[in-house]
Formats: sequence, structure tokens, C-alpha cells
Amino acid sequence: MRPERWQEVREVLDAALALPPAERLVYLDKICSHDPELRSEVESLLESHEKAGSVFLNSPAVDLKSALGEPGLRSTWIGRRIGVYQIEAEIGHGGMGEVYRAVRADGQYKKEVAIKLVRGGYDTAAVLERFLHERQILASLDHPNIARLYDGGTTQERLPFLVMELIEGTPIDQYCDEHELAVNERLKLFTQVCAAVQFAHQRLVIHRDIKPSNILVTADGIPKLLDFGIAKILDPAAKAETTLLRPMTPEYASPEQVRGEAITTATDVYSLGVVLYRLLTGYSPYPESTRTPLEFARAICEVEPTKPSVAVARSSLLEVTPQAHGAAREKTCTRQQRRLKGDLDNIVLKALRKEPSRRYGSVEQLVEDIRRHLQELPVTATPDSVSYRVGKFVRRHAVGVAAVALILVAVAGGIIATARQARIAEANRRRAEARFKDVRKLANSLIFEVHDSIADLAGATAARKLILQRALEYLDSLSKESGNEQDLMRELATAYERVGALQGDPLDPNLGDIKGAAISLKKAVELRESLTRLNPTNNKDQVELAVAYLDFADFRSGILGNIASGLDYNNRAIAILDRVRVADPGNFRVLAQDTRAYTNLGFLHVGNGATGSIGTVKEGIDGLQKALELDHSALQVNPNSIQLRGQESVIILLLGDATSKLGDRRAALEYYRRGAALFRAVDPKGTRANVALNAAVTDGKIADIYLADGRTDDAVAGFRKSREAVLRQAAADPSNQTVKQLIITSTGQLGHALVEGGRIDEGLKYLREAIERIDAEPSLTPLYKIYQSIAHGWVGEGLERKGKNANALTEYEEGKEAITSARAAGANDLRSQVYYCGSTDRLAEALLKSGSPTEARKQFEECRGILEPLLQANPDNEEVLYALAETYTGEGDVSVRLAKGTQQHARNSSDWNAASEWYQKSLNTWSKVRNPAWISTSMIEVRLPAEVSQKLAECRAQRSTKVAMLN
Amino acid sequence: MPSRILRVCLWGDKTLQRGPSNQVTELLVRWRSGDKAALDSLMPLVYTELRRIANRYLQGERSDHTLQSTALVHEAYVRMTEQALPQWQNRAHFFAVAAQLMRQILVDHARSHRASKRGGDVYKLALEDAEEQPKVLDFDIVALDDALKSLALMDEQQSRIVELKFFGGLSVEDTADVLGVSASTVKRDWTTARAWLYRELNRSAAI
Repeated sequence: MRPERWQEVREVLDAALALPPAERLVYLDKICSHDPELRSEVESLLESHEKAGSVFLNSPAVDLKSALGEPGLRSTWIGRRIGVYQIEAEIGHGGMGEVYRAVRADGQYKKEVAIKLVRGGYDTAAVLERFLHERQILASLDHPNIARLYDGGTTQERLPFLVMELIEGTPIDQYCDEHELAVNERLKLFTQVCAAVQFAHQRLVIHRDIKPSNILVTADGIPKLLDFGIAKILDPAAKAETTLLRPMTPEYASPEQVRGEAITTATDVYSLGVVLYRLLTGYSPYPESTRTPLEFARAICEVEPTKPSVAVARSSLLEVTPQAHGAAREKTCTRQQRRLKGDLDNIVLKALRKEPSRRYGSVEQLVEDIRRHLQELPVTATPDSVSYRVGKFVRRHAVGVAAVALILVAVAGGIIATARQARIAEANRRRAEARFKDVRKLANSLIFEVHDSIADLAGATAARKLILQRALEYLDSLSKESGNEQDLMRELATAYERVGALQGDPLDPNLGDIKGAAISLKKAVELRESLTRLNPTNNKDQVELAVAYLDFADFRSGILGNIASGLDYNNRAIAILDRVRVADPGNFRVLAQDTRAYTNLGFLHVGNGATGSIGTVKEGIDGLQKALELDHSALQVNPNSIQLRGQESVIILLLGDATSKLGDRRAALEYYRRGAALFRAVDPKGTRANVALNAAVTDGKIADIYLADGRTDDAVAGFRKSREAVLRQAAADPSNQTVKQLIITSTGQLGHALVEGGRIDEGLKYLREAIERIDAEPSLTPLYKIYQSIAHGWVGEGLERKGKNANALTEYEEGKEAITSARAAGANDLRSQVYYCGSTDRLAEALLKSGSPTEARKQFEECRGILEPLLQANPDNEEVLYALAETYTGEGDVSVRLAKGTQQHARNSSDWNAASEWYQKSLNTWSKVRNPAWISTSMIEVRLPAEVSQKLAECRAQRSTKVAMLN
Repeated sequence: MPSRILRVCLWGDKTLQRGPSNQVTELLVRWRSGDKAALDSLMPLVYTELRRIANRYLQGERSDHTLQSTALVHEAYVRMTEQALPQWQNRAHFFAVAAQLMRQILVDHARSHRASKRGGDVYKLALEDAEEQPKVLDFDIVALDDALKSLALMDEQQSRIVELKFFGGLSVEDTADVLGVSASTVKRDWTTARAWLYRELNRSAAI
């Protein structure tokens, strides 16, 4: 029915229903006299109305309101027993539930407690589990200013409850006002609260919900903190060390809580800041108009708090009593303002900063600043800088700024020109310096703020490139004018590092400008080197140089595939970091960067994916063990570092790779599974792109092991899962180069596993997709060429299985061509050479099959020429052993073919001897490999020793036949 | 073609640009400022999460397919408020979304059972509340859903009213509050819609 028609029908129906039933038909006769259809429609609906009666739909499927306990569903608990406690009176209620006063009623002794009854809606089992988990820790919080948690359980109704020390007191803000405490007295009371929080932090307990109603001051004037750790018990996301905003007053929540980010001790610092703000001004740090929870959430994340000294003026004016007029009022107000202005403004605002890392590093530091203030010593807190605030503005108004940015670039050019001219005239020197500073600030802002703010906007790539390029030009020209001004050099180095990362860091979504990246990173290294020459004793400059070396090493090895050079820079970094670490063992940044350096050392030895290695697996394992050790030390300094927890899993995966290379696939599988579990623990929701990608890589690695063990179906499933996870990330971040690489590898691996499992056409489809994706890349780095080579090899294998030997041969030729050009472009590490030989072996075997043994022999000889010296240099490298053993087997096959005779080559019985020797060499080589698999970790497919022995036996049989015939 | 491990951690771990909960927040803000279409975009986001919760309850359901609606609503509520408490302007808005979600969950549940029976009997959903005996609906909830969709094409508001009252258990006054119309309008629309739906359901059942 059309809506208009329905409106007609329902109007008549409404009118009819309004009439007594007896009159309805008469009414219809009248109103529908020209429209019999309308009449029958309404009549039928009237009939349905009668039949539907009072039952139909009147009993709701879901009763949201009663399910949510509103209103009045709260049955009264007073007089009832919960566990051994008898409820006496309600003493409060809030978002989580109600709090009652209760006494122990089991006759043992009379003790009053507070019982917090958690409102329905919480997952009881989870609350209890967290309670049991936390109980031990909370029981250790024995402090005169902390209310104890005694017990917990569930009521008969399955509602969780917690039993706590009963504190009778007044909320701290109310207490201060009622007792008209002076500012100094308020500060002293507040520092007692801080001491309690600090005590808990030392025991790794974060409160998470500090607010005046949780800080009661007893009649003796002793502040007591309630609910320590309770927020965590009631928080479903607590395990992940993050929280989501609970149904509570958001006024005291920190920005990270509002955003659901990681909770640290800094969260408590923030909430303490809000409490202090209120104690000093009587007001919330956010504007009066902030009323709804939504507005609060936004204000907490975005609005800079009003300075306490300004807020107190507002409050004095607003709250003034009618008796206090004019001069008296002004006087109180200005005196209060003077008292707060400066130190206290700075202290409170530092505690309230939006970014946890910019607040006080600990509650202790906050207390120390207050103490210094009370003793009239200078405090550490200083106001935010202008450029910082400009940056905030830029970040908040990203979209508009993107458009303005380009104009700024042009304007800055003008300022520089004037600045230069102005500097000529000595009279204008000061003005010139001011401009010089402006330009410097602007250039930095372009790189660090403007650029970041538009980085996520679609289609901003061209603007980003221009902004970075111009900003660097400005900084460059400034540095030329200023000579060796060190701060400027540092800024410039940071800028180059930053820009280099954006241009070509393999680990970041980037602009894919590899040449630009090489120049920028090199300049950063040079600047850092000059700085350490100027300040040989400055550890900070040393550490920054080490970090620059590490960035450069990543770039040289990861992007350019130059492992030796990467290792060289990595070792320089390690030398510096190890030295500084010994001098300053608790320095988190040094520990973290040293962890990074040793991890890199590990994979440069072991290899990572198709990225090469120098092939000394055992040394790699040593590096990784050291990295793991350092990672754990760093985690002791900062247990909440998600990065270092992620790093731990990365190291474990690399250990998996290393053990797999040593032939212990079972142990490797264990490592991979452990790594996967750690990734899940770091990021249970899968919101961190790199963690999610690593989890996908891990699935792929587990599938690799399945493939090597012959569990093809499991391997296919694993690769498929891995590929899908990567594609999901690609949807979220399509320009990310790393994701692009992973799509190619996971697609190729899936294709290969399908071919191995006999699903050849499906496999070829994926392999061709992988090749198309590689070909679509604008610039083919050596890494992509290696991928190309492997993929062509696998396609060839699929075609060969379909009997298309000629086509397969073409694929193998293309594969070899790709790896040849990768080597020509600088990929000459051990692994690239092994890949080259793997590809050459395949080609040779195909040539042999096609009836060209002499052509095949040339290829095998070439491999031997590479592999034999390589093995001498790396005697137990498994990748080389696999490749060489397979080459010897191939040589044996060639000799057998020659012995059997071909058109070009007459039968020659001495070839049987030669074949036996080759096969024997192959077996000798195999004897050094532990637990051989049919495919090596470098993806070389081989004939296993058993098959080679068989061939050898056949040769020997042939040889003896010949000998017998001669006799 | 081995994939490389990303050396994630020490140097730049970009979180995804837009997590679902961010989107929820943004959509709620837009909805609140009068963008009616935002609610439509919002539903699938919150729904995915609730669907997961519902599945857990449904897996543990009793053999007579009794759905523990109270438990489900509890958890749904906690999740929804967790996700976006500051953004729920008021209870009315919350209920509007919740009722729509409940409808989707219940209908999907019924539909999957119907599917699993491969076109067999019409599946009748039973609902259990805390203290009451399970009650069995005397009609097919999937058919009701289809009928509501047809009704929405003719009269969006009537369809919404049925959703709020039947799938949310809201009173006439609450429904009026949510939709911003008068209580008498709700009553009239409810009566009309009920008559039409009753006829539709009996028609489809007869076929």
C-alpha cells in the first residue's frame, strides 16, 4: 500500500475506532460511499482489531526498563544478611551500586564494615575472578590513609559484593570548606592523600577512580582513600590495562580513560590534579557550561583547564554572599588570585596535562613540587610553551589547517628572505633574531604538527611531500646562517630523522621516496656525529646518535637489502648503547633502544622473512637472548610499556625462526605459539595495526612449519587466515607499504600451499595475483624482486604439475632473471645468494627434464661456484647446506642422464661413477642437516636424503652391471 | 616467500586510524545534533558487539530455546554504556537504540533456528524473565519483523512505535518521549499498527 493511501485508511480507521462499535458500520457506509475498496480495507482492519484483543503484542518481548532495574526495582537490603554480615543502613550509592554499613553477625566479634553491592548488569563471574586476582595485592595495601578491602563474594541473587573497612568521614572538598582551611592547610592535607597513592603505586596498584567522594576525612582530620583497586575489579577491560568509561561522574576521569587508552600511574596523577584544583578553587577545571557527560568527555580531551588563579576569581565573584560587597570582595578575590598565581597554577596544570607523558612522572614528584612551594623554593612545573599551544591548535583543527598549511609554506619563504636581509644591518639585529626564531618555530611546526595533522587525510600525499620538503629547506638555510648552533643542529637532526622515516621507513606508512629517505637519514647521522664530536661527554647526544644509527641500519638492511652495511651501523649503535647503559642502568630509553639494537643484531644474523642475513644463526640466537634479557630489564623500569611487551613477542618469533633454521621445527612451533599468545595479551582487541600484522605473520610462520611437516591442509588454512587478517589491515590503511608487502607474501604462500596440496588451478590464481601486485609497485626494491623470483618459481612448479613443462621453463627463467636483478641492485647477502641458487637449481632441473643435460650442468656448476665457498665461510649454515645438497643431487641426475646417453652425448660408463660421487657428496652434505624437511626455510624444495640414497644404490647397481659385462 | 616479522614496537606503532568505538562516538554526536541518518550508520556498529554477546547467551540457551532476555539486556546495557556513556544524551536515546538492537538480536536468533531446521516448523521464540515462567509467543517473530518492515514503508513512525513498545517494553509515555510526539499520537498509532500487523501475521500464517 502506498503511504498516502495508508494515511487515508488509518484516518478512517481511527475515526471509526473512536466510535462505539455499534455505530462504526454506519459511519463507514457514509464516509466510504464512493470508495468501496477503502471500506473493505477498514472493515477488515476493524475485524483484526477485535481479534487482536488485549493480548497481541501487549506483552513485550524484552522489558528494558525492568531489566535495567529502573525504577524502584532495587529491593531493600536493610536488615538482610550477606555472608556473615548483617546490613544496617545505606550509606551511599553511585554508578556501580550501593554502599551499606553492616556488622559481622556470626557472633565472633562485632565489627562494623562497609559493603559495596554491585548493581546488576556486571558479569558476576568476571568480577569475582578479578577480585580473587587482585585480593592478594589489595591486602598488601596496609597504609594509615587507605581503607582496607577485607572480603568479597556473591549474594544469593548472584550480585557481586565487596567488604571494606568502614570509614566515617566527610569528603575532602566538603571537609576543607566546612573547616574553612587555608590554602597551606589544604595543601598539607592533600599531600597526605598523595602519600597514600604513592604507597599504592609502589605496590603496582593504580586507583583509577580518585575523586573527593572517595577521599573521606575522619573527625580526627585524617584523610582516608576508599575503593583502591575497585575500579579495576569492576572493569571488564581491566586485564588489558585499559579502561572504558564506567557509568560514573566523568569529572575526575583522565583523557586516557575517556578515550579508553592505557591506564598508568599518570592517570592517578591527573585525577589528583582535578581534586587539587577543586580544593584550591572550589571549581571543576572545565567551563561552567560543561554539564552533560558528553560535554565533559569532550572537555577532558580537548579543553585546556582555566588557570586556578583565574578560576578562583570567577568563583569568588559568583559565590560571594550578599553581605560581602565591593571593596571587601575585590580584596579577597585578588589575594586569593595572588596566592595561586605562578607556582600553584603551574603545579596544578602540569598534573592536568592531556598527555600522560607530559604530567608529573610520579605522584612523588607532584608532592615534591608542593613541598617546595610550601618551603618557598622554586618548583619544577613551568607553563606550556607557546609553540606547544600552537601545536595543540593545529591538531584540533586539522582539516582547516591542511588548506592553510600550503599558504604558510609560501609565507615562511617570505619571512626567511626578509630575515636574511635584516641580518645585514646591525641596527636591525634584534628584529632579525626574532624573525629567525619565528621561522625556526614555523619550520618545526610544519614538520611535526602540520604534517601530522594532515597525514591521515585522504589524498594529502602531495601536500605532505611539499610541506616536508619546504620545511627542510628552511631549516637547512637557517643552519647555514647559524653555523654550529647546537640546539638548531639537534632540531635539524630530529627533523631529518622524522622526514626520513616518513619518506622510506619500512615500518611506517610512508611516501615511498627511497632516494629522499637515504639522503635525509644520512644527513641526520652526520649531524648527530658532529654533535657528539662537539660534546663528547654528553650522553644524551650519544644516545641520539645511536638511535640515528639504528634508523639508518634499518633502512640499509630492510629497504636496500644491504645486510653488511646494516650490521655495521647496528654494531656502532650497540657499542654506544652498551656503554651508556652501564653508566646509567635505569635509563628506560637506553634500555629500550639497546633491546632494539640486539633484536636487530639477531635478525641480521638469522634473517627475517626474505630480508637477508649474514647467516650465522647461532650468533643470532645469542643476540636475541641478550635482547630478551634487556627487554625484561626495561619492563622492570616501565612495566606498562606496550611497546616492550610487543617487542618481547617479536624476539620470541625471531627465536622461532632461528630454531627452525637449526632444524628443530617442534621447538620453533612452540616459540611461534608463545609469540602468538603474547601478541594477543598485548593487544586483545586487535586495534594496534602492527601487533595485528605480526599476529598474522605468526599464523603464516606456523603454517610454514605445517607445510614443511607435510600437513598441507593445515598449512593452507593457516596461510588463508593470515592473508585475511592482512587484508583487513589493508582496508584500514591502504597506503601502508608494509601491509602491501605482507599481502604479497601471504597471497604467494597461500598459492604455493594450494599447489602443493594438489589444488593447482586455485593455487596458480593466487600466485598470479601476487605477481600482479608486485608488478603494480611503482619501484621494485630488491625485496620485491626476490618475491617476484620466488613467485615465478612456484608458478613454474604448478605448471609443471599440470604437464606444461615448456611454460614452466619460461617461469623459471623469469624467476632467475628477477633474482639476478635483485643481486645487481645490491642484495648480495647470504640469503640472496641462496635464493639465487635455489632459483638456478629449479631452472637446471627443468632444463634437464627438457633434455638439455649440458645446459643443466652449466647452471649447477654456477651454483656450486657460489655455494661451496659460501659453505666454507658459514660451515653449518642450514640454508646453504640445503641448497648445496640439492645442487649435488642435481649434478648426480645430470651424470645419470649422460650415462644413459643422449643424442649429443654418447653413452659413457664413467658417468655412472661420476653420478655415484655426486650423490655421495649430496648425502655427505645432508648429514650435517638436522631433521631435513622437503622444503628449506629459504623455500628451496629438495630431494630428501632417503631419495638420494635410493639414487645412489641404483647407480652402484648399474656400475656393477657394466663391470660384469666387461668381464 | 617468507613474510617478515615487523619489528613493531620501539619505533612507531600506529593504531588503526578509526576504531569502531571512535566511530560510535562520532555518530552519536552527529545524531544528537540532529543528523537522523547517523542513527542508521550507528546501528551496525553497536550491533556487531551486541550480537557477539547475544551469541554467548544463545549458545548456553536451554533446550527449549528459551532466551534469557534479562541477562542479555543487562550485559547489552553495560556494553552500550561502556562504549559510549558520555554520548547517550538521555535514557530516551538509549532506549531507542536498545529496542532496535533487541529486535535485531531476537529476530536473528529466530531466523537462524528456522534456517537450521531447513524450512521446517515455524520457530517460536520463548523468552524468560528473571522470576517469571518462560512465555512462548503465539506468533512467528520473523514474520513480525517482515511485517514491521512493510509497515515502515507505509508509516515509519508506526513501525518505530511497535519496536519501542514490543521490543523495548517502553510505556506509551516513554515512547512518546523518545519519538518526540504526544502520548495520544502514540496510542492512536499503536492501535492502528496492531490491527494491521495482526492481519498481516494471520495472512502470512495462513499461506
